Amino acid sequence: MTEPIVSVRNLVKHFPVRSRGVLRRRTGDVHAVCDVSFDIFAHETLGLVGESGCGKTTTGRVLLNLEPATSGSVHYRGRDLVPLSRAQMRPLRKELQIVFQDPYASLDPRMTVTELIAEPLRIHGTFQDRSQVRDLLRTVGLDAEHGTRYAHEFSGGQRQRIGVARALALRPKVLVLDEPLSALDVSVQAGVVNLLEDLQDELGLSYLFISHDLSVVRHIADRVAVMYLGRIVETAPVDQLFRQAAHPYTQALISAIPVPDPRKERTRRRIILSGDVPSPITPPTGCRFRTRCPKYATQLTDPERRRCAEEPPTLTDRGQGHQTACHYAEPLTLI
Amino acid sequence: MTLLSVENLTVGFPTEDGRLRAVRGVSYEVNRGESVGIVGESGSGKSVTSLAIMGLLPRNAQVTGSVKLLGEELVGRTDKELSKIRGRRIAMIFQDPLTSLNPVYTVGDQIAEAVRAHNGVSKHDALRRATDLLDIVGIPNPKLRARNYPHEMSGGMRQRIVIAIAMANNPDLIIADEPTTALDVTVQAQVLEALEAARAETGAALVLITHDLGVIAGHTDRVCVMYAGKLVETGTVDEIFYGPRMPYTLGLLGSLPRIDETGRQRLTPITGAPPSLLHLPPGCPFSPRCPMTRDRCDDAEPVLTATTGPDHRAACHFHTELAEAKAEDVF
Repeated sequence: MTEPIVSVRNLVKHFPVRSRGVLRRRTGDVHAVCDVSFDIFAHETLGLVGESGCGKTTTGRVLLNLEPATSGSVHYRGRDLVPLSRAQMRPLRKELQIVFQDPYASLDPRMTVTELIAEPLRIHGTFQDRSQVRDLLRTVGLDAEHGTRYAHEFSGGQRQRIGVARALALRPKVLVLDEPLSALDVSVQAGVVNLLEDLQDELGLSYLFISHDLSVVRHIADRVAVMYLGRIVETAPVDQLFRQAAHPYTQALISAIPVPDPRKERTRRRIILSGDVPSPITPPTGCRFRTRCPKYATQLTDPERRRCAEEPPTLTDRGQGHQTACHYAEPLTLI
Repeated sequence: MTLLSVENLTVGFPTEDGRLRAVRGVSYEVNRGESVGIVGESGSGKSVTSLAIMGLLPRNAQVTGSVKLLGEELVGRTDKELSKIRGRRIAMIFQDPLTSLNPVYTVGDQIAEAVRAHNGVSKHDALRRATDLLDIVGIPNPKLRARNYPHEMSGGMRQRIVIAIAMANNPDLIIADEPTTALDVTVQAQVLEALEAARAETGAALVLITHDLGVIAGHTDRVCVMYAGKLVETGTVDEIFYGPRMPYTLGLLGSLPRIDETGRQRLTPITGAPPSLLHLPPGCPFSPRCPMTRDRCDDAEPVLTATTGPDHRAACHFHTELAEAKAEDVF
């Protein structure tokens, strides 16, 4: 097998929780990312999915060294990024870029589109003339003559294209896409999805596609990692995951997604989870999902439950790159 | 039996650049106990329509047309008169539960207040009813939870509290405006189940406003598709999903990535953006984005006309050409 372009190992990110008042003593930690490991290969899309607060955005930010990791390593082409300083990171930023979720907040309203797209080029000293910007605008499907306009003159989908053009300006190898579609209407979203797929084919990019929308992930990703409360609970090639999900959380997620097909919807089996996601400051012992796990609640015997409470399940290989972190994983067909 | 009948409803807002025509002649009916979905993208006027029905628009809104609840006209009524109907006959659920709930009262008190607002029951009985309602919408330990404040609850739980308040007086109609948009999918499933439980308990009809065609597919009997302030297609949920006769509906369905389809099948986006409601083009508002557009489309705005059945209507001059059409062939 080829070497991965990005290799994340045992990544941990804790945010301190401080007391109120003058002393601001450290009273605990938010366990945002716990012992996360994954690889991204060249020309591949890894989908990182999970619900709000599961740590998927933090994982993306730590991967790019925008947040310092508490421990663990992120190897990019064999070099560990975690110990690098900002200055040491800078030349590598050309190769690792990010597209943010909100195209309304991530573009400076006082800059024209040309300035916005030329900014990364100027910072890295590779700006030559405006034709570069015009080429980039064309690459992302925008009119090259629109460079003199400001971000507010564009629709959400067009702004997200500007965000993509900015990220592409430095010819990166890896793009972290942090919920790039969630602010867009469906009819517009489809155009950006197609654009991202075309760009990947043309430029040979690798994507870390962070999203809560499993329908989009099924469409765009080659492999998927599912996160719950800071941990990866299941990872598999995309079709395998959707056909044979083996972790009870993945199963609940897939069963909860509405399908735009009335006949299928009427006959679908839904796994409704009870309760809410526990606090990441005091995550449950053992398996973090057990407090909401339908299997734990209804199917397991007491000794089996004790194992869930005491022994945190690790990702175990089920073959064909399908790994599940559950002591009692069983594949289930849900679609 | 017709419960709600909306006829030729228009809503305009005066702005510095002229009159913004947010809703341009919407007519639909809701029968007792049925569930009607209203689907459209942001700015299509779907929320403004429901706010106009409830009489909740700001004062500068210009509303014309007719909204009848069991034959009783609602447009033009005073706020005081409407407040007797709101909450008792029609209840509304909004997208953000935090703005619907009062932060300084416990949720139990707020549900009890809704019960007492339209019924002369004692405070004690109202609180007991509040606990029952919490149980119906699937809140564990309802007795204990009734003493919580909204900030002590998660988003999904708050939305279930709002559903409990909505069903407190056994309304005839619940209007839910993007009730699950801000929520995660597993929580969305919980809230939709609570909404179904509320309907089963009260027998209320539902108007479900959302941009999510998946939610529409699973929870409605009939569907209205809105675009640029008008209904552009109406029909049963099966008619709309399996045989759309308006290019916009077809395009929306084709642009959706689906978890039940494998492979990198290309999505078919709709090019362009919806028109500004200040300067609408003459003719069909979808024409600038429509791949089937012809001269006639820019001359006359099509009206809703019957297609495959009397209730399946589409606003397109060329709807017959869409029989058996696939999104990838048209767009």
